[in-house]
Amino acid sequence: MEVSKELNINKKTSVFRIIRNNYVNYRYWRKNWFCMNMMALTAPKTIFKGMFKYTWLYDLLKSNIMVDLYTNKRSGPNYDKVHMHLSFTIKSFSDMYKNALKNPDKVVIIQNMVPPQILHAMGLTSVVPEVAAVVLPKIDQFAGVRYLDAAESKGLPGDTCGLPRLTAGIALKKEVPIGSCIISSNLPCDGGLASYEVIQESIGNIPIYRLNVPYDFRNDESIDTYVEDLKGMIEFLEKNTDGKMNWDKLREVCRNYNKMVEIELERWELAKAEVPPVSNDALWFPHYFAFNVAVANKRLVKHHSKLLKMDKKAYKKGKICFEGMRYRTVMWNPPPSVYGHIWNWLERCWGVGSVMDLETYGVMEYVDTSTPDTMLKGLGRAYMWATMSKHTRGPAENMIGDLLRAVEEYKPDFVIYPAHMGCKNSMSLEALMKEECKKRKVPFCVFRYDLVDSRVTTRQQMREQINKFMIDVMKAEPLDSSLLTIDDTGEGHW
Amino acid sequence: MKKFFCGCDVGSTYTKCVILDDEEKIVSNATIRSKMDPCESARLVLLEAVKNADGIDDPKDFAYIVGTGYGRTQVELANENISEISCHAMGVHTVNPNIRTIIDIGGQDVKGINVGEDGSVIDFGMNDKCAAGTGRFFEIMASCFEMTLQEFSDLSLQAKKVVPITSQCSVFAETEVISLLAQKKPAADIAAGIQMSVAKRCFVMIKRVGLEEEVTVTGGCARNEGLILALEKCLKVKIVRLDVDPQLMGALGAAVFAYRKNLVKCSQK
Repeated sequence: MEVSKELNINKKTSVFRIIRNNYVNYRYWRKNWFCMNMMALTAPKTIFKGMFKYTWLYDLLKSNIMVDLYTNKRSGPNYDKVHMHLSFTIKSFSDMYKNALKNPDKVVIIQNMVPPQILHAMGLTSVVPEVAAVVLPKIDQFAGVRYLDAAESKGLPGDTCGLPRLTAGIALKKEVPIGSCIISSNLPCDGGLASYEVIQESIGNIPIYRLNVPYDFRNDESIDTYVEDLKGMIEFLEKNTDGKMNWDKLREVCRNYNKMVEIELERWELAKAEVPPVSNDALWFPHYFAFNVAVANKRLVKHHSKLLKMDKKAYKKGKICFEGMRYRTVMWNPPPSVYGHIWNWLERCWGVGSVMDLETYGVMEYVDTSTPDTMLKGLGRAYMWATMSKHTRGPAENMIGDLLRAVEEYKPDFVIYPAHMGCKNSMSLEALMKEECKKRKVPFCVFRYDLVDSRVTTRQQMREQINKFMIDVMKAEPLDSSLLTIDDTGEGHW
Repeated sequence: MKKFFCGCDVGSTYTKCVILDDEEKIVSNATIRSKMDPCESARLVLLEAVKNADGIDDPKDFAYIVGTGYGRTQVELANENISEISCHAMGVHTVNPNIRTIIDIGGQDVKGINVGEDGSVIDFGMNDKCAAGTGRFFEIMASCFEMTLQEFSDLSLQAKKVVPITSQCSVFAETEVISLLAQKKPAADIAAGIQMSVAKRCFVMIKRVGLEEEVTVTGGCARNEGLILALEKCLKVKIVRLDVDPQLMGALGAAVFAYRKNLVKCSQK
C-alpha cells in the first residue's frame, strides 16, 4: 500500500515536471525567436543582405535546435539554468552582430583572448571571429565543414587545431564582417597566431596590431611588458579608428568584472558541496561566455547574479543539480564543439556531473581600479593567466598543477579528459596527467575527438570511448541503456 | 546432466568461441574469419565449436552464452554481452593470475589494459583511429613480401640489423617498404624494422596506461614472435607467453563470465 502510494506521488511529480519543463522550454523558445527576429527587424535590409554574404548567419537562426539538443529531457536545477543561459547568449550574439552590421566603421576584429573591455571603453564594437567557429558546430555539427575545407584547400594543415582553421576558413570565404583593423595575439596557442596571417590577408590587408604576450608570464616584468603592449594597442586603435580611450568607462567595466569574479568564486564554492547544486554546462557555459567572449556590463552581472541565486536556492533546499547524479567528475580539456550537448548525454546516460572543468578553472583575481595602469595590469594578468593561455604554453606544471589542485578541491570520482586530436600541447601531457591521477587513485577517462570536425571522430565514437570506461573501469550500469548507442549522424536527432 | 558455457568473441577480423564445462575447463574452441555479417559469424563459430565438443550438439543447449568483441550485440543466442576489454582481462587472469598488463593487438585496434589482482580492469588505453600497429597492418606488410604472417615473422627473426621504418601510417609504410626493397636492403632487416615500428607505437600507448609487470600480449599478433621480441626490446620487460592460444583470450574471458553469471542465476533461483 505504502509503495503504491509513493509510486503515485512520483507519477504525479513526474507529470507535473513534464508540464513545467515543457512550459519553460516553450517560454525560452519564444524568447529566442523574439531576439533573433528583433535583430532582423532593427536592421532588416542589412540583415537580409548579410544572410547572403555571411551564410553562417543562417545557421545562427537555427539556435533553437541547439537549445533543444542541450536541454532535451534534462531535469533539476541544471535544466532551468542551461535554458536561461542559452537564451542570454542568443540575445547577446544577436546584439553583437546587429551592432557590427549596423555600424561597420566601429567594428574592430579581435582575436579570442584580446581583452574586449578596452575596446568597449573606447566606444568600439569588437567582433571575435572565433565565436562563430565555436558556436556553429554546436548548432549543426556539419556547419563548419565548408570553412574547414576552404582553409585546408588554402594549405592550412589538417592535423592542427580545427578552431583557428575554421576561423581562417570563414575569413577565406569573405564571411567575417569587415572591420577597420585587427587586433591579434599569441594567445592561446601558436595555431591561433598562425591563422591571423591568413585572416588579415583574406580580409584585404587592413592594419593589424599583434599583442605579444611574454612566454614566461609568471613574473612582474612580464606583466609590465604586457601593459606597455596594451598601451601600444590603445594608441594603435586611436590612430586607426575614431575610438577614444575613456578611462572612466573602463573603470566601470572593471568594477563589473570584479562583481563577476565575486559571483564566479561563489559558484565554484557551491560546486564543491557534497550535493552540488550546479555542474556541467550550467557551470561551464556561463563562465566561458562571461570571461572569454563578453564584456562585463550590468546586464551580464544581473544574469550571473540570477544564476548564483538559483544555485544558492537549490543548495539550501539540498537539491542536486540534476536527478540521478551518481558520479562527480572534473573535465580537463575543452568539451567538443561538435558535441556541445555532451553534458546532456553524460547526465542522462551515466549520471555524470562535472563539478569543475579546465576552461572554468582559472585565476580569478580582482582588478585594481585606482589608476589606468592598475586597471591595465589587472586585465593583463587576467588574460595572461587565463585558462588555455597558460595551459597551452609554458611548462607542464601549468596544466598538471591546476588539474591536481582541482582534484584535491573538488574530489571527483574520476577525471574525464577529452583528448583534442588537434592540440599537440595537451596531448603531450596526457600520460603525465594520467600517471599523477593514478597515484591519487583517481581513474582517468580519455576520449579522443576533434573540436570542430565530427568527420574525424563521430559523436557515437566519442560516446563509445566513455561507455567503455564507465563499464570496464567504473563498473557502472547506465541509467538509460537506450542512450548507449544513438544514431545522431543527421542533425536534429540525438 | 553436464552444463556447458560459451564465450563468443566477434572481432573485426576473426570470430572466436570457447566452450567451458561445469568444472570451468576448456572443452572446445573455434576460430573463423569474420564474415560481413557479425550475426552470421557468431552463428558459424558456435556451430564449429559445438562440432568439436563432446556432450553438446546444439548451440541452443548452452546454459549461458556471453558475447563480446565489436559485434557482441549481434550474437543472437547470447544471454548478455560484455565489453572485450573486461573479457580480455578475465581471460588472461584465468590463464595467468600474475599478469598485470595486457597488450592486445587485434585485427583493427590496439589496446593496453591494466589488470587488477581479481582480473578486473583498472585502466585501459586504445588506438582505434589508425590501422598502423594492428593485425591489419601486418597483413599489408606481409603482402609486400608476398608471404604469410608466419613467414613474415620468421623472416624478421633472421635480421642482422634493424632498418628504421619512419612512417607511422599503413599506407605510407607500405610505400616506404616497397622503396626499401627496391633499394635492395636485406628483406629480413626491413621486416625487423617493421616489427620495431609497431613495438614503438605500442610503447607510447602502454606508457600512457602505465606498465606494470607481468606483461603479456594477446590477440592474433601475439603469435608473431618477431613482434614479441621487438616489444621486449622496447619495453625492457620479459613478455610472458600464455599457455592457451592468446587469440582466444577474449572468448575465454567471456566464457568465464558466462560460467559465473550462471552460478549467480542459479543461486538467485
